[in-house]
Amino acid sequence: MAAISKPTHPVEEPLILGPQDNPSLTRTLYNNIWHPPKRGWWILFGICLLGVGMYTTSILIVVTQGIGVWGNQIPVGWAFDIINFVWWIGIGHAGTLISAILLLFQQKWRTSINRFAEAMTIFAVMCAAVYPILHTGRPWFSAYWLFPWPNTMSLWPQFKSPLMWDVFAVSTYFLTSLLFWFMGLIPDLAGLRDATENRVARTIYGLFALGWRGSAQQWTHWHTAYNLLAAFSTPLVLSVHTIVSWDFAVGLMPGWHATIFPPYFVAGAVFSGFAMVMSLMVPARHFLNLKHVVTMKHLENMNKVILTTSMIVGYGYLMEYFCAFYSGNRFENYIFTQRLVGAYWPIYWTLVACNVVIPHLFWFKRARTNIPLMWIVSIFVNVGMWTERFIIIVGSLYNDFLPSKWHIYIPRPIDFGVFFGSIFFFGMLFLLFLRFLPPVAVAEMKELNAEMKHHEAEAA
Amino acid sequence: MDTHASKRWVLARFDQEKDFVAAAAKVRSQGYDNLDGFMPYPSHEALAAVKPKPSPIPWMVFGAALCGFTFAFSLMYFCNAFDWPINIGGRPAFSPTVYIPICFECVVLFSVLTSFLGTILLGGMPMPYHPFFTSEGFNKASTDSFILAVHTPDTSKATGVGDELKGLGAFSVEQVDE
Repeated sequence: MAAISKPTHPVEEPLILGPQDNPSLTRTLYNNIWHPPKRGWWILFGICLLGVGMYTTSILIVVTQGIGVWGNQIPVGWAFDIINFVWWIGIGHAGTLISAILLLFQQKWRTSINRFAEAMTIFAVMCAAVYPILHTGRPWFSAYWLFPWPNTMSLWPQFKSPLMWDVFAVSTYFLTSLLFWFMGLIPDLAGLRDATENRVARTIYGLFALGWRGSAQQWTHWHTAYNLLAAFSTPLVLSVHTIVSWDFAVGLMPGWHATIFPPYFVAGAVFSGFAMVMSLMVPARHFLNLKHVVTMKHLENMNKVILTTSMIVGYGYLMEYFCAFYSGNRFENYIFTQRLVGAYWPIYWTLVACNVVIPHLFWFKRARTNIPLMWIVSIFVNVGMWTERFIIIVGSLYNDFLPSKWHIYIPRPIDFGVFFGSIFFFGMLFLLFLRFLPPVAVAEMKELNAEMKHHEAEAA
Repeated sequence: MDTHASKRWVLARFDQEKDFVAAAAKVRSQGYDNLDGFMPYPSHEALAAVKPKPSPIPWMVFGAALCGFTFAFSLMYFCNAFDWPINIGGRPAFSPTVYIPICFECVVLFSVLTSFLGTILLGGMPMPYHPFFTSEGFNKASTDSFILAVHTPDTSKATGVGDELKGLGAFSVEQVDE
């Protein structure tokens, strides 16, 4: 008789460390809200406030002086504004991916990080939306122009334009992300309302909790709707960056007119989004004492996603070259040669180093589990993805079909003011989020904890 | 006659989910079918014990999705093909393929709004005040405890159910009129 073999699969690492129960999770996960922030938080918040001052000033200058203050010149009519728009939208994508796709695939490790990532999505989309509005030149008209309302010539918006699709995609995306996030927050807001001794805090959290009591009927509706939101967000996240890529791919510009753009943009978005989650989570996990719920397994899984998407993006770069070569189109070939050796070659090679070379460190478990290293790699990826957007936009526009139009684009200080300002604005919103809301979905963590205990009891 | 008799609830607080489930099964076996449960997370066992009605939200969302599609398609048809067709490079004024992205986005938008509003309105929200909030210990329902609410026809029955729930491991028992 054959001996019964032992299971060969490795023992799964736990997703929640230590013996935890509902009171202990309530205590530890709401901790950051009940205690006044530490000095580090105030210093960071002060820096971000100064940055937001710079942001507001830069925007005021752009609005009052006109977009001529930017470095944009024909043929580079799209520059920092569109680069930053695409970059921020891409960063937002990991939030929806983690919330929606991982929820549908029943990936339990998402629970510790979804709240972070969704907050990041909302703030990133807010930062992104500013750029196209400013880019219209007269933002006080832009809302009117974008809505289907006839203008003075009785003309309607042109729905055959990808720019119009973009308006629908981004606004739907923002609203969906916001509602998805808020739906997840309602039970936790009720928890905050009920756990606080402070009357003002109870009133404010109570107002936002909308009278949630956690009744069986409310949970039934909530659960159904939450899963439906996930089901709708999953194709939505793919559609948004696909449509953003169509802004380029539908144009005839060499370097843009490629069918690979949609999947290549989506992979890039997931890549940069996960990197940004990592950049934010590593310090937050340390300073907010979340090591028991955001374990090394979570960080390692995210590093694996970064490695995978890095390879997809790298494949995209390679295919762009192959398609340019195989098309036999001299304009395409010229643009792609210029990327390697043209005016912006340092930016192109930074992109290759950051996005294609450096993430390969994550093949090694020691690198995947080294916290300072993964944080540094995530910063490189963020930089790399920004340079990718720069190369796609400026790299194609500055050398278009007519040599007489060629023009080197150099950003002006105001371009940097609006760009870095938006990063500070994002930072400020994120710090406020960490101060007033639980950074981990508490109700969902309790559900996961109970499920894990059931499994343990069944296994025993 | 006790005018509040038809709205009397017995609220029993349990710290353990399994005690809550056992208690719900026990009172249900005694004929108390009108139960409600309050819990910090949507536990499958606890929900199964209370037996809430299935949510109609998927059907509402299906309707909303159809409305979203119809709205987007007719808007684009009216604007670009009917009211003011513009000839751009000889492309057809009515070109359904280019309507796909916006139709999709509107289907998602209408569905998401319906899911959210459905949860809020069907869940009886927004309702910042509810009589159960006056119950001591009810605030634990959103963080740590499971609270079983049993609807009883009169005070004497309520006292009996309350005593029984205490015997089944309830941390505290209280009567509340809704």
